Amino acid sequence: MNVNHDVNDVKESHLVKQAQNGDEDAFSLLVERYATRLYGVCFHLLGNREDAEDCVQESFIKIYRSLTGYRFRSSFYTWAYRISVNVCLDYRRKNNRGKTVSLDEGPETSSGQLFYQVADELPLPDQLLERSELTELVREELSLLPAYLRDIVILRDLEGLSYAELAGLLKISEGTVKSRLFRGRKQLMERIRYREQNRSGGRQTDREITTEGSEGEK
Amino acid sequence: MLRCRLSNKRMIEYLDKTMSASARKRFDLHLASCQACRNKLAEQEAWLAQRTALLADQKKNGLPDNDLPARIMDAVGKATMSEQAEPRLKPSSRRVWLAPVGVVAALALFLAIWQVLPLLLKPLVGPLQEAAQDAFSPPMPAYSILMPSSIVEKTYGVDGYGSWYLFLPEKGDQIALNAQKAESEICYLAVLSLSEHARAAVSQNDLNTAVILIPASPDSVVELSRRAENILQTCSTPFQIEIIKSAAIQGHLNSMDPVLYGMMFNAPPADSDWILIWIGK
Repeated sequence: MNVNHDVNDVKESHLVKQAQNGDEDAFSLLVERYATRLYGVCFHLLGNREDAEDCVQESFIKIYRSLTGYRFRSSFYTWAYRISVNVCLDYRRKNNRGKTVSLDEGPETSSGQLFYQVADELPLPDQLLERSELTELVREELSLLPAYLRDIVILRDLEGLSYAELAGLLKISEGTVKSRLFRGRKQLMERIRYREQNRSGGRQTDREITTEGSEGEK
Repeated sequence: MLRCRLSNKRMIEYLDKTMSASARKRFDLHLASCQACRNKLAEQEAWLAQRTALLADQKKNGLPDNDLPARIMDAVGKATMSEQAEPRLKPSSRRVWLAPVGVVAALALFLAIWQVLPLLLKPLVGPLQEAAQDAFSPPMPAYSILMPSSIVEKTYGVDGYGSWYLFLPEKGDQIALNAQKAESEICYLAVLSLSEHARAAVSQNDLNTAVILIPASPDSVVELSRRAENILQTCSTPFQIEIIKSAAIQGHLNSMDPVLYGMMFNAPPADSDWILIWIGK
């Protein structure tokens, strides 16, 4: 998969500039180039065709509207990918099957302190976690990973980008990509295990999430 | 148990089979005697199995039709057509909690305020700066301030979200518990940075909100936010200050706005709390 190199890069930046100047054909070519990949990202985060289609359409609407704000400092794909992921996260929150507590409705006190807690929905305790449920749980936890880990897990493990491509896209070293990939996978599996272990514990609303943020890159 | 020194990176290389044969052999030898590393490896392999399931599911249920690009173009066309026919979309309802501030900060008022903000801050900032320079020589910065040019390009800029300033510390940075001078300076610099660049960015971009995000140790976060509030109260710009627990920062940012999410690519310090200052509508 070539995302940011050489000839494609030149053509792409040219296309983007044309699209920024209102050339709809150029925008259409960008859509053709990235529709399937962004759809794939949406599908991985949402797990069904209809939602993925809604979100990839919404993503491109946002991309279209925001195009003039793109300044070529990151690759167009990275920029578009992030918009897509955010559309999916928004979509999950709005259509979360009525389970998730909105993070925007945290308590407000006179001291101004607001403690937002990540809502966590659990299947009924007496249900066996079937494969499809497990897959949905994986998608959900994937979407809840810290962004700097989630992006690498998605782009490397699900979208198949190489370490070199990721290093270039994210402007970090290949070693850091690998280290974050490891941590992302680890954290994801820890979250999934936590969810599975606590299935009998009822709805959980005050879950501490370890970000490992202060740990140095190895 | 001794802490194992094998790096995460090497683990990945082992899983990818990109190690030299001799290194792999040494790794195997180590694994034979290290339960912790075997567990780590098993966890990674469990994910790889799960990944296979996700990819299979995508192959089975998630491949798009050939006419997806055409449908996307249709959707984009309809959305932009209806936008031309209808009034501008309202800002996201997810920011309901900002309503009291938003009401006060009608855009016209907001823009006017931006024009005068630097003037309002000037008398405050000058003495503060001098005092800071007199009191101590500036420490090596424990933070980085992303300049508007590098921020705005990552933002949507339009469609109701507006553009942002973000005072974003580097990974691992945290204001020390007892380093009150540094804390004051951080607050001061954050506000200063905002005032320095606001006007230029407003004129060049569709700026409607400014954000300052400051990490602070849990013990000093309340005091620090009070100081930030004191600084901000000297100007008439509407603002709102929140304190957010570190564990919730990522989810909170994700929930608030995609723009912020995109900027949180660096790991936030795990053991700090955060002061989030919204300025504007």
